Amino acid sequence: MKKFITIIVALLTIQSASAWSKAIHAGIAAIADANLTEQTKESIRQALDGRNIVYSAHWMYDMEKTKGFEQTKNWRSVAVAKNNKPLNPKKSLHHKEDIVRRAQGLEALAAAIRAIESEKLSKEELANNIRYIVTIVGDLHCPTHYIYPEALELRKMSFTYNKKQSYVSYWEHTSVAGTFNWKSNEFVHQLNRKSAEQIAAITKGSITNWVTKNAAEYREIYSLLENGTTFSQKDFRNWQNKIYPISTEQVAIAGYRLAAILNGLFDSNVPNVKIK
Amino acid sequence: MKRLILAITITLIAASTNLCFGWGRDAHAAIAYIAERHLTPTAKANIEKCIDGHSIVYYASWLDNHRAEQKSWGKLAHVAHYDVATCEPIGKPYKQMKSTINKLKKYRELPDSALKVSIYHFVHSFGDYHCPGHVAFYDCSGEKPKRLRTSSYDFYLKTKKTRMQYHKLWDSGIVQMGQPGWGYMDWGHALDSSISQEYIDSVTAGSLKDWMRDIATKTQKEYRIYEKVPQKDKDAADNELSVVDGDMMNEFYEIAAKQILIGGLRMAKVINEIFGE
Repeated sequence: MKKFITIIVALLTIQSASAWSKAIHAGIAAIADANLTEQTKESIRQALDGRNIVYSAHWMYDMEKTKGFEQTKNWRSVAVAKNNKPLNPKKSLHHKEDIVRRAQGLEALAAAIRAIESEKLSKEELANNIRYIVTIVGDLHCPTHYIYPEALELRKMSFTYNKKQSYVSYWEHTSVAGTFNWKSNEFVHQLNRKSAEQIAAITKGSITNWVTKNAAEYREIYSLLENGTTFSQKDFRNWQNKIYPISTEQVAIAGYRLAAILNGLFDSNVPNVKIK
Repeated sequence: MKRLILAITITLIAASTNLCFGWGRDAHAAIAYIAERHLTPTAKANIEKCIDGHSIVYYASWLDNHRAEQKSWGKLAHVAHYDVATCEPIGKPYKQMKSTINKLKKYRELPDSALKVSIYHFVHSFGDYHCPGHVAFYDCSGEKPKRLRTSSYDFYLKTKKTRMQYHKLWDSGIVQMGQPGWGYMDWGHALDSSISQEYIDSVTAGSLKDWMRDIATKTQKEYRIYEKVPQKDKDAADNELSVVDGDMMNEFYEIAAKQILIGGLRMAKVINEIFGE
């Protein structure tokens, strides 16, 4: 009996241990896809055997248990210093905390970009590196994928609504789905609405600049919850109303930035997004 | 023991997913999306300017989500009231909707916040009023209207072997169980891809009052949702409740789909008239 209940609980919490939900990753990829140039789309279409990036939006997660892809589990988050700049990988790799050591998302993204830029990849390697970029850029716009080593206790924040829930898990799975049931094309319809000027502002700067800016902004989400709060139905709804405008905005930003990276890599008329 | 396991499983699944949304979310979004598909470019651009560039679909359930934040928002009705003898709309819900539409007609003069809330109220409650489960009948023969029928009672859903609130079935059950994997765009494409201009003209003819009377009349005489699933005592056991079986669910699904489409087409007509110039 205990075993049965344990299995049920484990099955239901498996997704809590991953990242943005599949729907959000697909939404980010769909927004990016809608902002790719024709040249980029065609190159990606060829690399992915006729499929678009939405199809591969969650691929890195789907492969995590496949031999040869185990390391991708460490490519989902980024560790930042108190000044919000990414930690030096040499430092983070030897950090005493496992969660910091495993926060290699930025390095993995940079490696994937450099690999594609090298133009020395086999067809399969090219496809995989495109897929890595698609997933990692999405994750780097999920606030709870930023690890603040001096404040790791933030990751243990929880609240109670019907049951005790992890705040980190809420952000990854419910911060959008608690308000909207969007499918990938609906994310595009709802969120792909920025002007050219707004997109230029969002995609300005290097990937490291984006991460630093995100890291500073995302610290604020931890002030939106008093740890241990028990919500009534009404209070929970009111609280969620403060969250969804932030999470949906990050989905849109991720989509535009992903498009900027891919257009830079595959369209000779578009400048590359710099890593640093 | 088996019951305990079942109860734990259902509780955990319900708590770990978001099964409790429906006409509230999916059908409201579908109605607003169908409306959007029928907006003129000018009307679409003008109304979106008023709501910070968002689609009206984004705000289709805003009133459900935000109603507890301000007393005045909480007072906006979601269920429409009708005289059972005539099916004429009565009371606050009709007056509020009429007032909101009248406010929107002067949208250029409205302060930003009042304009936004008026749009949110319109795109939500106008959709709600097209749901048969949001039709409440009153006996108006006396001094004060007396509530006779609403959908706030339990019935037994045979296909799921469970008791459920009838209002919830119309709010969420029919749409979700009918098409569990659909998003609002799926609803839009499925319902709104091959309708004729004659059909659009026929369902959008008339005024708000005509449309509301039409919904109540259909609910009472054609859909007969209260007659088919009579209210039983609130303490009735499961086997004493009115039963909804698979055939009836199919019938209700057709009604819901029809009302979603009609709601969207009428919503578009109002928005085009107001924001189309």
